[in-house]
Amino acid sequence: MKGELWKAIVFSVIVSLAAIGLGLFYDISNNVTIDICDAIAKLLITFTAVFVFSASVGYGFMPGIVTSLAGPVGFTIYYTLAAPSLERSALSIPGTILSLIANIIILALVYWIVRRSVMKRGGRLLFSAIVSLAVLSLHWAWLTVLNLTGVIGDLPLSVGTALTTLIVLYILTFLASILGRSWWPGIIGGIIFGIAGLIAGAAALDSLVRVFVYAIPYVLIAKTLRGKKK
Amino acid sequence: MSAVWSVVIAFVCGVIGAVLVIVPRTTLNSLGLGFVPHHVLILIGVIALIIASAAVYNVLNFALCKPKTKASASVVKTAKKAKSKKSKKSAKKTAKKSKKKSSKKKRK
Repeated sequence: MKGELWKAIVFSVIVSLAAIGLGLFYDISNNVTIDICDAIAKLLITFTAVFVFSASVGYGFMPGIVTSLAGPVGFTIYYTLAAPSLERSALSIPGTILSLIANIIILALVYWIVRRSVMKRGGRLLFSAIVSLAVLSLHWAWLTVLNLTGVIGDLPLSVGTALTTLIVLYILTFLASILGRSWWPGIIGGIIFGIAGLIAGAAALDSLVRVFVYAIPYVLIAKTLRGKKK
Repeated sequence: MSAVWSVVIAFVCGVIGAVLVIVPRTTLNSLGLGFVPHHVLILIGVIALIIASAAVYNVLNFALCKPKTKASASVVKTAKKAKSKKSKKSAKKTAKKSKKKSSKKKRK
C-alpha cells in the first residue's frame, strides 16, 4: 500500500512535470506570457488530477482519459474564473479553448507514454524523452527563480532556446541511460549538466542546483517507475 | 476505498468546490473568507472539484463494473474449480448409480 502510494506520487509528479514541459512549447509558440504563479497553479492542478485518479482508481486507458480531461478542464476553469484578480490582458475565449484542447492532447500523450512505454516496456528512447521534458520544466522554473531574484536579466525563453535545451537534455539522458538501467547514471548526467552550466558561465551554486534539477527526475523515474525491458 | 467513503468524499468535496467556484466574491466575503485572495479560493475549489470527480468515478466503477482485482479473480477461479469438481463428482455418482441399476436388472 505504501509502495503503491509512493509510486502514484512519483507517477503524478513526472507526468505533470513532463506535460508542463511539453505545454511550454505550445505557450511559447503562441506568444503567451508565462507567469510563474500560473505555472505553479497548472502544476498543482495537473498533479492533483493525476494523483487522485491514479491513487484511487488506478492506471489504465479509462483513468488516463478521465485524468487528461480533468486536469486541463480544471486549469481552464481556474484560468477563466480567476482572471479578474490576476490581470491577464492576453486572455481570449478562442485562445482558451484551443489551449484547452492542446493541453488535453499533451497530458493524454504524456500519460500514455509514461504508462505504456516507461512503466511497462522500459525502453530507452521514450524514457529519455520523458526525463528531458521533466528536467526542462524544472530548469525553466529555476531560471525564472533566478530572474525574479535578479541574477539573470532577461529570461532566454524562445522556441529555439527551449528546443536546443531539450535536445541537449535528450542526448545527455540517452547517453546516461546507456551506462545502465539503474539510478546512478542520473547522478553522473546531473554532474555533467552542472559542469556544462559552469562552463557556460553560471555561478557555483547555480551549477549545484542544476545537478539536482537533472538528477531528481532521472532518479525518480529510473528507481520507481521504469519497468523491465521486454 | 469503499463505496460509502467515495460517496461521502464526492458529496463533501463537490459541495465545497461548487461553493468556492460558483458563489460570488461578495457573498464569500460576507461569510468571512475575505482575507483569502480570490484566485486562491478558486484554486482550492477546482482541486476540491477534481477530488469529487475522482470519487464519482470510483462510485460509478463500483456500481457499473465487475470486480477486476486479483483477490476477486482468485475467488471466482476457486468457485469455478469447486463447481467443476462438484459437477464431476455428481456425474461420477450418477454414472455409478446407473451402472448398479443396470447390473441389478441384468441379475433379475
